[in-house]
This record gives sequence, structure tokens and C-alpha cells, in this order.
Amino acid sequence: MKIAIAGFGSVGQTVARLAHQNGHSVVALADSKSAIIDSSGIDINAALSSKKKKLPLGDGSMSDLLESDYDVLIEATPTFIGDAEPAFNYIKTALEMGHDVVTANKGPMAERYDEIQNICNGCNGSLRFEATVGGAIPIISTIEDMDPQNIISIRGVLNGTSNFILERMDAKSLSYDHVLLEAQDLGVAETDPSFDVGGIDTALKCVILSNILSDGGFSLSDAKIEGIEHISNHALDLAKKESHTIRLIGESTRDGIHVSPKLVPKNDVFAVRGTQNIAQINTKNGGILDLIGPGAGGGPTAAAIFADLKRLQV
Amino acid sequence: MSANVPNVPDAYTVSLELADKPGELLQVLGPIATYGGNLLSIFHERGDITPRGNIPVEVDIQCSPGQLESILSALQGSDIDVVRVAGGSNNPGMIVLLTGGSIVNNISNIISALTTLSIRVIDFSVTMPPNSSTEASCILHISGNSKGTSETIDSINKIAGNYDLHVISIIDQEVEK
Repeated sequence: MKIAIAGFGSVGQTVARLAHQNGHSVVALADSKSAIIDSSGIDINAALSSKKKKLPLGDGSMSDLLESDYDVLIEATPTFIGDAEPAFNYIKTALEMGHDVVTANKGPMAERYDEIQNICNGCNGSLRFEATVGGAIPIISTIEDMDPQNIISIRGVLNGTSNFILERMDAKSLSYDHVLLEAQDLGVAETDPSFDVGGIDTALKCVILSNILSDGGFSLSDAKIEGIEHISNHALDLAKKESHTIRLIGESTRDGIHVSPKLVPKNDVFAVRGTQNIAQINTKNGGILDLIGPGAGGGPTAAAIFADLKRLQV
Repeated sequence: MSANVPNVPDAYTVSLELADKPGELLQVLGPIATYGGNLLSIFHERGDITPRGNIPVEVDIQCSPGQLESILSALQGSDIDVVRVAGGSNNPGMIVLLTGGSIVNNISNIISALTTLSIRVIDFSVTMPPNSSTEASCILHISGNSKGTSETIDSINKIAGNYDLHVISIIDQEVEK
């Protein structure tokens, strides 16, 4: 398929790099400053090199990208809460022009799900968003395959940064501040970590899942959120003496969204390690499904995007 | 064992700490067999050693409360360190972790307030980091009661809120069906 990639950070770059081997041709590419459009296929290595040198990708703009000739828009711009712009507008424009869209952006799918569904219902384009929740783990497609009406609830560890911090604090009895600095050095945590450790990222993912279960109706303001900033290593030590640890757990139901740290038996399925994620899907007739895997990063997120592209081709 | 608990089989997880010497595991399995417990699984992570140099082992068994009592007495009689017994849906207890600045001064008030709501704290331990004058954490062992897990946690949340404490409750093992 001919793909246009909006957003050229870690995810956009990985998708561009792997597009050819997945059978796709990148015909347009944009970051926040400029765009390059080439219907015969963009030289990805040259674009990556420009990005590395902080040079413009080309002399086009995001509007040029949206109006160019492509099959699917890959929307991989940064997540913003509230109005979820500019991602919302990119998705809307592409769908209304009859293109399909694959997004990795939690903002629009959590904050403006109902509007997006209305746009989808009134146009020819399809929208897929597996990459918004749990990286490479096929959570959304599993719910879709089983039919949301057969799903009772979903809960899990959906933020790798918080999990990395809690696990390392626990394993080495290190302070929160110390491990946060390590996580930032390793690129596991952002300079402003509040989005991850404050539980907002987990909550956005849970809002998306509750929206799928209820066919819309939820946004971030409906979530009850408590982060991990107040977890000390002496609290973890106490939990350890009881053969437990602490994990940031998000829960999605049709009644709402809860995110909070919970005590978890140390050998429990929720005690995932490092930046791993787990989603536990409680089904009506199929029992409990535990899906575990890498929940973030360029590779896993790109894998989810390529899986969505494949689903669009069926 | 209270008289009104029915003597029907239930699943329990018995957490033990064994000395690092040959034959210890047999000391554990003997009483389970003798008193008719059904051994479901044994979990031990190779290389896992407690700070006191013991080997942590978790044994899942199915037995009646009466059998459990006999097994536990036999284990204790053989100097096996039983750290924790969990499960038994007839009367499950739970642990809950509190963190915050006002624990040390208020722990007895918190326990009293819980008792008035029929939530009995059977054990607790508090830790304070060496560099803190107030910040502390406390783990409470709550005995089984007639309330459901979520009602008990709601009550604990309410009381902890009065003292500006964070409550970290245990993940619910029983999901909605």
C-alpha cells in the first residue's frame, strides 16, 4: 500500500524504515516542521539522515501530505490530551477524503472517540488504532475478534515506564528519585515523567478500552487516577516481606476507568518485569485471557501499525 | 478454628521458609500426606534466598479448614517457618499497605477506627526510612470478615483519607463473572 506518515519521531521513523520489507511504499512523510512527498517512493535513508541533522525533510507541509495521493495515513504525531490536536484534525481530514487511517495516537481515541466514530460512519475510510494500547500486544484486535459485547472487563499493566521504576525500586531497594533518573538516562522515561508516573498514560489506554466496550462515551475526565509518585522503597520492602510487590494497574469496565498502584503477589501474572505490559481480558464465555509483551517503543508500536495495515488489506 | 466454619475442602497457599539443607521439603510434604491434604503445586524459584538465608517455597494445597489446622501444627512442630497462609474462600483475610506522613502518630487510632467498623487488624508492621522524620509505610493484616473485599477496602480508604494516607490494596483475585 502507499502510505503517508504524519509524525517522524521514534514510531514514524521505525515505520518508515520497515515499510518496504512489509510490502508498503512511503509516498509522503512529515514532521512538525516540513514534509516530503514523492509518489514514486521516498528515499527513507535520506529522510532519516535529514532528521538526524535536524534539517527539513522537504519543502512541503502537513497540508500537502494530507492532500497527496496515498492509500493509508499513518498518524504517529505526539499525544496531547484535551482537544487532542493536531492529531484529531489530521485523522478527520484523511478520513473525510476517503483514505484509511492507522493511528498510534492515544489523544483522539481517548478524548474524542465519539466524534471520530461519527466521522468514520459518514465516510468511506476505515480507522484502526491497535498501536494506541499496549504496543505490539494485540489487545484491541482480540477484543474486536471476540466482539466487545462478550468482554466483561480488561485490566492490566499498560505503562512500561512506571513498571520499570517499580520493579527496579523493588529489586534493588533504590529510591524513586534515583530510579527515575536512571529511567530518564536510559530513555525509558521522558524529561517530564508526570504523564507516565502520574498514571495519565495508563488512564488514556483504559479510556480507549472502555470506549470500545461501551461504544464510546468516555474521556480522560471520567478516569479515577492515582500514580506511583508516592510509592517509597520502604513501602515496597514491606510488600516484599509479604511476598508481594506493587504494580500500577489500570482497569476498564463499562462503568468507568480506575488507575492506581496495587499490591500484587510476586509470582502473579501482573508482576510483569521491566517495560513489559500485560492486559488481562475477562470474557463472558472464553474465560480469562492474559496477553503479555512489550508495550512501547518504536519496534513494538510499528509492529502493531503493520498488523493494522494488514487488517485493512483483508 | 471457629465452630461455624464448614469443614469442606478449600484451596490454600501456604508460604514457607525452609532452611537450606537436605530433607526439608520432605518435612513439609509428610504432614500434608498424613492429614489427607491434596497437593496442588509447589513453587520455588531457584536461587531465591530470603535475607535470612532461607529458601522461600509456596505450597498450594486443597484441604478442609480442620485438615489445614492439623497440617500447620505439624509443620510448626517440625520447626518449619510458616510465613503466611492465604486462600480459603470460607473466610479469607487480606493485606493492605498504607503510606503517608501521619502513620506513626496515628496507627492506634486507625486500628481502633477499623475495629469499630468490624474490620479486625490481626497484625501490622511499620517502616520509616532513616532519613525521614514523618514519612512511613505500614502493612495491615486484616482478618476475614463478613464483608466483601471491596466493602472492606472502601472502609479502609475512608479512614485512611481522614489521615491523608494513601491506600494500596491488593489486586482482586476474583474478577467479575
